[in-house]
Amino acid sequence: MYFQKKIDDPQGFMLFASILYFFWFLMSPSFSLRNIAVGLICCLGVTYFWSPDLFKAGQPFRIAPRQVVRLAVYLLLLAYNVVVANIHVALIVLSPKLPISPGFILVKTKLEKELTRTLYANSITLTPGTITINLNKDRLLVHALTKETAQGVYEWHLENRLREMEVGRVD
Amino acid sequence: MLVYELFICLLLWSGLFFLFVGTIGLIRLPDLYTRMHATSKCDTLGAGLILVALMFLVGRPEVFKLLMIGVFIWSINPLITHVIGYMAYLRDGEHLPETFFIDCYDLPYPGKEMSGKEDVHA
Repeated sequence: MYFQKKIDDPQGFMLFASILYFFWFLMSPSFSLRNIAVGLICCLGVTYFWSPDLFKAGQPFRIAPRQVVRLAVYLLLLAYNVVVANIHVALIVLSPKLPISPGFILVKTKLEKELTRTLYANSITLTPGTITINLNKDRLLVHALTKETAQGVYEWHLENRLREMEVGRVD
Repeated sequence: MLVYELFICLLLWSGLFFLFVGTIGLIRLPDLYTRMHATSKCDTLGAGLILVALMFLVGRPEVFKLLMIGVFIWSINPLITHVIGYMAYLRDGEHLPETFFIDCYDLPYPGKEMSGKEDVHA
């Protein structure tokens, strides 16, 4: 039965529930008694319902402060890239001749951890002109709007940033 | 104060402009994959700009909520785009006849033209 399950990891359960409860109070309008009670019930219920899926850690990861700084720099660079590339796509869409040459490109990524690979694939999708269709181990299948954007995926400098964040050096 | 309001107006209108461009792209572009480019991307930037403009307008507790909306949009949008694209790819979604396939996986021969779709399956 889906509703009869044991809690294997009480510490993790409490951690998730308290994170949800904190978030509830950030979103809730007031500290009335009803709010507190409803929030508590909802957080415990949601955590209990999803508890088999929540506490499986695939690869252990720990975060150094330097990595957080690099992640922040990376996100800023990504935002800048998104704006620039968005203007590019807007020019393509608005031009009367519609200069597109769509296609698929299969690239190999240097990244090794699942987390950074996911981050990289999502960054490619966020950057206009390219969509990640499939990510299978180190094979990325990307759909590109023009041939130039496909070339851009092949030699993207932000991948080196992620690699630097992952292992602390560029190779 | 006037400069501040003008700045907010500029943000709002540029967000609207990108949403507008996304809609135009949805109508003008030829096949499913290229249409996804226009809608998903321009929507992220358009919604982001409008949310930033609203953050300047509202009071302090609401800023965090708007920020969370922005974070969710920016993290869920690529996911949904990927799912739609992958499903269309698995079910042989129609694409333009001049679509190219390039295999950059084998590094000794970067940019080798692939013969067809079968090669792409890993």
